Amino acid sequence: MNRWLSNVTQALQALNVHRRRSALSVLGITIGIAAVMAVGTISRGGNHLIYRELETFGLNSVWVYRNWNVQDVKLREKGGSGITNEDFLSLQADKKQLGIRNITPDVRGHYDWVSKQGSREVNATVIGVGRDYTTIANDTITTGRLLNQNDINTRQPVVLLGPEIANALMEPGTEPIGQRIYVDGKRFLVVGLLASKSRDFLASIGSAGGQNANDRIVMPYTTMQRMVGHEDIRNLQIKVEDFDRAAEIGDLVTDRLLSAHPVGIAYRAETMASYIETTNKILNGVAIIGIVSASISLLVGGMGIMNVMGTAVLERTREIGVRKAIGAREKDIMTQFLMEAGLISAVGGLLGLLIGTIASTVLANITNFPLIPSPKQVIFALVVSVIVGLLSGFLPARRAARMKPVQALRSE
Amino acid sequence: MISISKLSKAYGSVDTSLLIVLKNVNLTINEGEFVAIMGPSGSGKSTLLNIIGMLDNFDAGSYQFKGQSVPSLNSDTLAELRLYNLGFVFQSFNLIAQLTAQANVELPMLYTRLKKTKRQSNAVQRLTELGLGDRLNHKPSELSGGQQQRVAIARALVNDPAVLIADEPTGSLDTETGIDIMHLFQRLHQNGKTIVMVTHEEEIAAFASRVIRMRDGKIVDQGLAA
Ligand SMILES: Nc1ncnc2c1ncn2[C@@H]1O[C@H](COP(=O)(O)OP(=O)(O)OP(=O)(O)O)[C@@H](O)[C@H]1O
Ligand SMILES: [Mg+2]
Repeated sequence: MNRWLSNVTQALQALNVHRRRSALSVLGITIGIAAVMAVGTISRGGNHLIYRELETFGLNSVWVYRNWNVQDVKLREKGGSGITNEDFLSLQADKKQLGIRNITPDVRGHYDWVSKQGSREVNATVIGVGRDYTTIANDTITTGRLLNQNDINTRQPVVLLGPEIANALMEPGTEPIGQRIYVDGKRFLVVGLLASKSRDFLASIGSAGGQNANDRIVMPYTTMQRMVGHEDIRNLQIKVEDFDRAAEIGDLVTDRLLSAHPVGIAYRAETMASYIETTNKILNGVAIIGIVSASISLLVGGMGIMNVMGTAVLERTREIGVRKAIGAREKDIMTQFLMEAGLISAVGGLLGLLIGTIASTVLANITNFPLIPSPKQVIFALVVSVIVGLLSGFLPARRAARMKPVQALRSE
Repeated sequence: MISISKLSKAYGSVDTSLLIVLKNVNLTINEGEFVAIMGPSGSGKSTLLNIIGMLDNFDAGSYQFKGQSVPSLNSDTLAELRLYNLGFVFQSFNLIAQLTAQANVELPMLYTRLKKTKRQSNAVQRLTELGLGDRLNHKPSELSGGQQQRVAIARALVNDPAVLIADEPTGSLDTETGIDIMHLFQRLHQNGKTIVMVTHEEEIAAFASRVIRMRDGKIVDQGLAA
């Protein structure tokens, strides 16, 4: 212990003699480690954020639509969405055997509908849904209640409001629950206020479905069908029991729909997996760029250390000779130079951690990513920096250790 | 203590021009002797001394140190022998410039198992004995030549080696200071230390108990006056 301490002291003294040179190679490692940290923060934070946003759709979701995008004109001749209330009810009845946990119809209002309260007007996304809609989409309410089966069975004129709609329609300070609003001229009772959910990040990377989730007006699909005057269901949204079977279950459902509507219609099922894949690709891209740039800086730092140590060995050849004459073994000399190299990189690593932490905090602030500290990464960064130091110090140290004493002593 | 026979060393290889530096050298040095090696420049004095000090190897012949055959020893064993049995003093002092006098003297003890406090007290004691008690924290550049050589001698003696090896220890000093150093060597010799020293100066060699003379890589006078 006491020997290690004096080794460290000697190493510090030696580095102190060539401060500027030592500082330069410290810098290389510092940049490398800081880059590793910053990239780690971005990819961890991004990952977290994306999953949080993807969860607002329900990770286990499958959407089933009529497929208009087909070559065969015969499959486009027939009108309508190709999904009826009977289809929905029959799928719901068989949901256990199909591997479905929840299923909801989705019936949309017209995009130009105006919703009003007093003199306040908004242009909301109006959606008619089943009872399980909120469960599937991971929606919660801040006040009031969710839609219930009775609302649906008896076509109640009740709505849930997204937070932005509530803000836009309600007089500041008024409690929305129990208020009346008009949607396309029809009167509705506000029964629940949906909690805010963010899809900003998905929207920012242009991911489909990244539109605002907070400007919805949600009502029973039966009520909506009466408003629009037909019984078509635009699409079904399904929550599957098992994420891995999502695609398979999507096919089962389209098969069921095809057998109910054998002529003139095609269907398609979309799963969350496709979104997740896209976003993972983006994140992996970020991580790879980061890892490459961090590796380059660590490499540069390592070469810097190799250079510093190489020069140090040359300049201190005579000192090496003296130490050998005095009785230092090869491994003592080796330890001495490795200690110096390790110290450079450890200092670089610590500084890198510090700067990396600051950079991560700033980045997290700019990007609005959550800052997720990772002790594992901190340890990894330090271990990597010391390993880089030891590896790049190894060759010069060995050269020093193997020097012949007479030759070393003779050098000027 | 030291027994060398038929020792030869050459530089270069057979096909290029071979420079034979030591030819068939026979030399025995007993415990407690103070030997001076003299001879013209290039006669092989330093080469022989470096071989005795186990800093250099040789091509033929044998070298026994305290009964051990030196060429058969590995580098760790040689380092250990140098650590505990040999102390070196050089013409150019060879102190480490960044370290204080005391730290320089502590250096050989760093490679031993001595505790830090013991290392410090030993170094202080050695330096004080050599009249440098008030120069402990001076860097070599802040000391005179004679003082630097005293620090070097303190460093050479601090592990109490069997043999002190000195290559022109007075070569960089003025005559008076050189004589002072020789008084020091004489005192060490009187206390039983074995000393092997190379010098150019008769005046310095006169302090030795025996003077060996070399010429062209050979010992021409063993100094064993009848
Ligand atoms: N590394 C080397 N390569 C080639 N020749 C060498 C080497 N070292 C020493 N020599 C030669 O060996 C011979 C003996 O050198 P050495 O240093 O032993 O002489 P010396 O007696 O100590 O001389 P001086 O009194 O000048 O110090 C010289 O001719 C020298 O040029
Ligand atoms: Mg010489």
